[in-house]
Amino acid sequence: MINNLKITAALIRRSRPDFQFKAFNDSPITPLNKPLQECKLAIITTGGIHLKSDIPFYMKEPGGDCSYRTIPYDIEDNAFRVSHKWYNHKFINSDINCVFPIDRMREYARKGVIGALSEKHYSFMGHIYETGPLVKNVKKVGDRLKKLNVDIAFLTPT
Amino acid sequence: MLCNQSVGLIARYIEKSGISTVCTTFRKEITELSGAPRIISVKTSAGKPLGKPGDIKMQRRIIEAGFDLLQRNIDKMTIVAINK
Repeated sequence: MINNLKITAALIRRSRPDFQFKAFNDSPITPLNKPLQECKLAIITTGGIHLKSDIPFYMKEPGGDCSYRTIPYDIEDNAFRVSHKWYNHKFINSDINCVFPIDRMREYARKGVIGALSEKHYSFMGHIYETGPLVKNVKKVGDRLKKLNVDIAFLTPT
Repeated sequence: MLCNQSVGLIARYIEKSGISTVCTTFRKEITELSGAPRIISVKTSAGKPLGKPGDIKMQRRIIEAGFDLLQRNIDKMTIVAINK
């Protein structure tokens, strides 16, 4: 795996010579302090999803666009767009759930597997070289999720 | 590829804000650098992290592995691999 990592980093440095992966030795842990059946869940994706009415993620930002978009829980299949040029959109355009599993989570909420689905979910465009602004915006999303009384965030890359 | 770093960093800082996270990845060796505490490592690929479009069985398998992991008492980064 170390070799894979070195190869990947070398590939990224072709377009971004100063790039280094962010690495930490610790893991912050927030224990789940109640049963899953009582928890409110939000999805966070780095798939660059947004509503058609939103401003698209900006693909020409040198360090990567670190902003985020809010996705309502009742988003319909034909109401979203993807602004993310580093993956093939044919899969998500065929089934949003292979990136943003909103239908599955609605089912789990309906069946009582989880307590509730958040009214709001969040999307970033994950092709980011400069992560400082990302961290600042993630903290804002964390504050928003706390205000929504969300207990769990389920995250997907692309 | 970078999405797998970003998703881990987002999990890390959401967790710091007091919300439990579970993070899926198809490049475990990248995501684990972030220190995200609960990681589901999947054999999928860019654009379809939860499997092929319409593969509801796989979507449920990955999500439910996440639910199981969330309910475990962990004291360090814990990675669950889904190999197919």
